[in-house]
Amino acid sequence: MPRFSDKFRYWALVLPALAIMIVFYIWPLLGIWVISLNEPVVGLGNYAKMADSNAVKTSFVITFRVAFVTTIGCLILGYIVAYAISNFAGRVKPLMIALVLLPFWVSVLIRSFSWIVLLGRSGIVNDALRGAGIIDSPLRLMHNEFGVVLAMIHVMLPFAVLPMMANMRGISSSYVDAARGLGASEWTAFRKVYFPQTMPGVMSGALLVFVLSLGFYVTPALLGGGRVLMISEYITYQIQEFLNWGLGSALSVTLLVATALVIAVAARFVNLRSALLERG
Amino acid sequence: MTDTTDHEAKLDLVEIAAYRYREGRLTRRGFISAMAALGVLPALGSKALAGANELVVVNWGGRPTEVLQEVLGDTYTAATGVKVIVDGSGPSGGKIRAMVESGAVVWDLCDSGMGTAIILEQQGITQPIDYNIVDRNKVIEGTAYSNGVGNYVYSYVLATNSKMLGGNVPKTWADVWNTKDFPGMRTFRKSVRGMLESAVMAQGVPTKDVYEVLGTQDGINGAIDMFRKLRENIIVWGSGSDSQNLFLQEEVAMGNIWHTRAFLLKDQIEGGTFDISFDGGVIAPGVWVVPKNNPAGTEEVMKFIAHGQDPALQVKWLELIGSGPINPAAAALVPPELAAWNPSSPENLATQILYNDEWYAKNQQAAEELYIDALIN
Amino acid sequence: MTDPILSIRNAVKTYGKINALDRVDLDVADGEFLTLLGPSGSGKTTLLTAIAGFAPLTSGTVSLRGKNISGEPPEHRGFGMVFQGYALFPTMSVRDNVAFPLRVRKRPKSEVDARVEECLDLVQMNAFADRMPSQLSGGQQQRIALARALSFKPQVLLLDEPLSALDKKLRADLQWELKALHDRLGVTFIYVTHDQDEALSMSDRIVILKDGRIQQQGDPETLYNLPRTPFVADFLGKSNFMDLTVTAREATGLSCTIGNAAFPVDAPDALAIGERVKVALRPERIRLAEAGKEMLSGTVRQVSYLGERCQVIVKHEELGEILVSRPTWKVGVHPEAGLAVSFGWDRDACVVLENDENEAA
Repeated sequence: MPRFSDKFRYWALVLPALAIMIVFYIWPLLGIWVISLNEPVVGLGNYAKMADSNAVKTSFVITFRVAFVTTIGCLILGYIVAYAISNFAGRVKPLMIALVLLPFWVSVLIRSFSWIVLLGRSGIVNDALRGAGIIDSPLRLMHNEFGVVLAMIHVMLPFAVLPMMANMRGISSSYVDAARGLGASEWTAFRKVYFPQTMPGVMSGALLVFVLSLGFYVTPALLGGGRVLMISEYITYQIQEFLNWGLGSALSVTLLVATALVIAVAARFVNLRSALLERG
Repeated sequence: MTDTTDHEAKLDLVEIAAYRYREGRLTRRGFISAMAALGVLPALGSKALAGANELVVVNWGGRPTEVLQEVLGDTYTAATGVKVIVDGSGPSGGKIRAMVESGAVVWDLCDSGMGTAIILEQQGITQPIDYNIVDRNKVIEGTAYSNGVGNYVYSYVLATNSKMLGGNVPKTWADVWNTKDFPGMRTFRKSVRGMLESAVMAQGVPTKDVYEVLGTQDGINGAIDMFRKLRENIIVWGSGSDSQNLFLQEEVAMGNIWHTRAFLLKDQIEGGTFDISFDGGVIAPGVWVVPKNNPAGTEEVMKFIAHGQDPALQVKWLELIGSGPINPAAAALVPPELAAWNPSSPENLATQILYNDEWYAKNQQAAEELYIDALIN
Repeated sequence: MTDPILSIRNAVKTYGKINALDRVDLDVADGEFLTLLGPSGSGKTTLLTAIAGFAPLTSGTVSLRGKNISGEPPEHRGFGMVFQGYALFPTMSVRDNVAFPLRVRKRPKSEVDARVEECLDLVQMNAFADRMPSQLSGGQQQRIALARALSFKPQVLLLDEPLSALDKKLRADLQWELKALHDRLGVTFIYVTHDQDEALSMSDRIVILKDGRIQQQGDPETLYNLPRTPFVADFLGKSNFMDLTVTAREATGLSCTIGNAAFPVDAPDALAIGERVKVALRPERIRLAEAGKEMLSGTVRQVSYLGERCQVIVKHEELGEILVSRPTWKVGVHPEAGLAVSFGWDRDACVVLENDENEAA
């Protein structure tokens, strides 16, 4: 057997994945940058057009607003779930974790359609409310931002729960015991001692959900009724409907840069390495 | 290290695969992946595939895909022995372009629209129609282009569900904009196509003057403002099935949708409460386009297009899913009970305007921008 | 005992079928340094946890100065606590950690600041007030944990194996400090450990637990010299065990035999002739001499020098292997393996044991 140097081994292990990334990700990505500057004419025309367009600006505002609200919703609900699983689940813990992961096995498309069944004008929720005599005419629960945010919180919830749960798993119960033994009430012990220690998990959950939400397509497209046009739907629209690759690419590049900026800003407050790599 | 790859052996494998493919023992998908695995796909061109005994026709999914298979595909196979596969994956201009530019063309014939056909032609993505094989007299005048030819007509019509309106049904576009007397949600397309016209008519402009009004920026802005005013009552449809679902799930009470979808809805909505009006409709042809380097070759596709021009088949198409005949000769064969649902019947043609491609080529992109802004901002 | 500060009555704690505490009664005197000693699973930590209020007793009561506090949550009991692994709050500075018990009690800021200084001074850690716990060594963290537990002047301080994570030398130093601190402050310490040296060196009183029951309690000297059961004799220091038969009653005590060997034992009068007894004999109570000089003869099997002491294993025909521990400067012989020696002890060196409680049951 020939003897390989460590360096050779290192590259032999890394190279296949790297090659796939370069060929199927980096290269097309560069292609998108090039297209955004080349079509239909060479120059910054697409970016100028984008900056001029009220629709694009509004779409970016909607995108960030929806992502922000989704993130807040996921953090609140996810924290409760992660906290309950980490501290009270006991023997049913594996089952509860499985339930958190379960949605991953059902496609986002199916989950979004399920929300249509639930939230529609003649959907389950409206029918139940009408049947109970609580409302006379159906509520508008979807085809607006409310429906989109609700379904997105559902889709994104596991991404918030998992990092927070991993973080909470690493927090010994002795801290809360210590706080209570030293005179703190249950609530004070949680607020002053437990909660600050979960901040890394909260931050990485927030970052994950926010970044994923920024580029989200399926759910807003299905539940937005065309009035909650997030930027990725806008991109699809430009490319598929108008064959406008130039503007579509420029939008993609802008979304990419915006997302990178979010991560860069987050890096000032969160230790990204520990937030994303060393879970718990 | 020298390159010891045996190129000749590889070419031989390509020939074998192509042979098996011609024999019908390898599916096209299998063939394409075999070629890709051999790394020879881009160099292959249409040569190895020419004469392959299969046509892939692509439209937009749902029932029309089945009907196209049945009415045009199976009859063509019966007549010529050439297998026709109808794929409903939606041949958007973007996808066609991506396919042609990547060199991996798997589609032979695509059901497109006039606007897209013109853009694709300008971008050099499609090939010219061979009017030696396809008969330019068997389509409505003005729908035979150099790189596309009409295949059927469809209309943007005012659709209503009287059940949700308490029997008080809007008759005109002006009624649709009157939310006081006609409450409820409306649906419009996620694009200005066929929509701006209705907004102009809602302002009281006579049908024949619609594109004249839209010819000025003020006219466009006026139409856009109409949507801005109405937007709280609008749910947007993206695909034909979206529009169908919105009515079926009673999300909307009225809207501007394709008559082909309305044709399905009239049987799906119980109690016969669903109706449409061609008055103030916009009629547009569907257009066949052929991607460059299509795998089955130019001649086979042209023969298929010509096959589809048969008036009897066109009426059959109407009967099944309401697609209007592109061949004017077909109107005489339409059964009387369907005459009211035929967009190209002389009576219905009289109350509609023909979709104006020129206007769209010039104004669509700018108008779309304004339209989205009006709906979301 | 005058009025105890803390009394536990008939404490039972069960986990499923296991009795972690089995009918425990205990009184703690004000200002006492009480150690709960036992191997893991003996119930010592369960007892401390029940006193602290983290896990309520299955039955029984805990009373503080005569008031039943069994139902009170931990934060209302007012005990200071030092945890195994310290449990310093990692997101707070040293200063904030020490101030924590005062702040949750809503003491005025001036008092908090003064008291924090005072407590850090007590453990000589003023210089580290603004560090984070992760920047401190184990011993330093231990001192902070102590300062934090004492900052609000609790009447009782509960310590759960506070030194177990430290290395031996540091542990010995801190034992002295803890003891000195206890004596200076007059606070009642309840200290849990599995380390007998720690227990012996610091405690006013040691309570030895096994399988959820108190085996024996008393001051270190009594416990060491007069263990009642083989478990206590073995757990607290080392012992040689011998099963003897009572053969004669003499004016000064009993004469006992094993095989052909006979020797005197101090023992209760109740023992009858012919009865079999188990006795414990501390290795350091055995004398070594040249062959023939003491009452029993044997052969040296193994020798190990431990610096200040020298341990010798002597093989005797009937008694088997006997462990002898002598001061290095006064071994009695120059022992090496194979050497024939004689050995013996004073009559009060043997302690007659009861059977282990659970073995009897």
